[in-house]
Amino acid sequence: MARIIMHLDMDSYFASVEQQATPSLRGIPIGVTGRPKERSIIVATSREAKRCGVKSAMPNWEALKLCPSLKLVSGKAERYIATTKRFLSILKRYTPLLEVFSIDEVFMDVTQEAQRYGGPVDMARSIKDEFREALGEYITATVGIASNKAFAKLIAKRNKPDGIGQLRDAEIPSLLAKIPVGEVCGIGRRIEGRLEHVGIHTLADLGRVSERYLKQEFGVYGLFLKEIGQGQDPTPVIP
Amino acid sequence: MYQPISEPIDAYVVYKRGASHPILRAFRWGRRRFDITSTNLVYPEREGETLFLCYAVNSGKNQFQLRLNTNRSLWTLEAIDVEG
Repeated sequence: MARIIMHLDMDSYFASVEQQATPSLRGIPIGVTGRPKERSIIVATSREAKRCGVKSAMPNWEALKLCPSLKLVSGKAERYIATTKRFLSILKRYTPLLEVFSIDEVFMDVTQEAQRYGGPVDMARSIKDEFREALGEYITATVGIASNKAFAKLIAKRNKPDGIGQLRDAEIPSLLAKIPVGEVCGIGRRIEGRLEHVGIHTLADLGRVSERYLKQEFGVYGLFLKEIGQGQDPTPVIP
Repeated sequence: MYQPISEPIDAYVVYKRGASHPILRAFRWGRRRFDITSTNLVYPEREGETLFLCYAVNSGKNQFQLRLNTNRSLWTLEAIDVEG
């Protein structure tokens, strides 16, 4: 039986929490930062700021140059931690197989539970409805569904914001040629550069390379690359 | 932008069965009563041994930040958004 893995990723998390707390910040570009009036960097951006090209880790001055209407907001860790605790307590009711990947990202193995909700997409809808009720209308999440973690994360990224995306195993082979290697979580810029240097640009390219070559070049990491290139990722969800 | 206030206030609160925190219905600041039209975010904050519950709320178009000192059951109006 194929696994059903969900990757849940909160949308523009810190910025959305600030916009939820302060309705006058909604619908405008905001950047969450350390100290707005001092030299600092942007920690998180709202959807509106992203549309202006403002990115995380950008210095405040650069972000303001790019988007003069950007409103800088001082980040409040207590708010994000409390919101994470709240959404995790909701998710734990859906499955005990839940892996916290970061403050705003979670993997869930819902193979056993999905059918109880009418399938994984309906389960994701139910989770999103509960989030709206418990966290507020402005704090949304995107859910990616696939038979493994790497592709669940990838499909979530492609359905942002506030979406639900499902990738069936039968759809994976035709997709491999369209996915650049750098889009996969676990393939950083350095590895991406090395792969591109030898003409490996997409996951399909990666899948065609021999496991021996990849192991020789990347050590134990080569096996992960080979599996990803074949649309597989056997990594379990570790609670 | 929030303007700091830090004044004790009278709060009208409901302790609802099953709710994770007291529900703030209204508060009195000076001579005026503000009815809460939306509770946007509630989160805990700790200062030493004292646990505070922070409320970000709206009364109509006015935005407020309030804090409940759970040790002393004391409510404080922390800030008001002057641009809201």
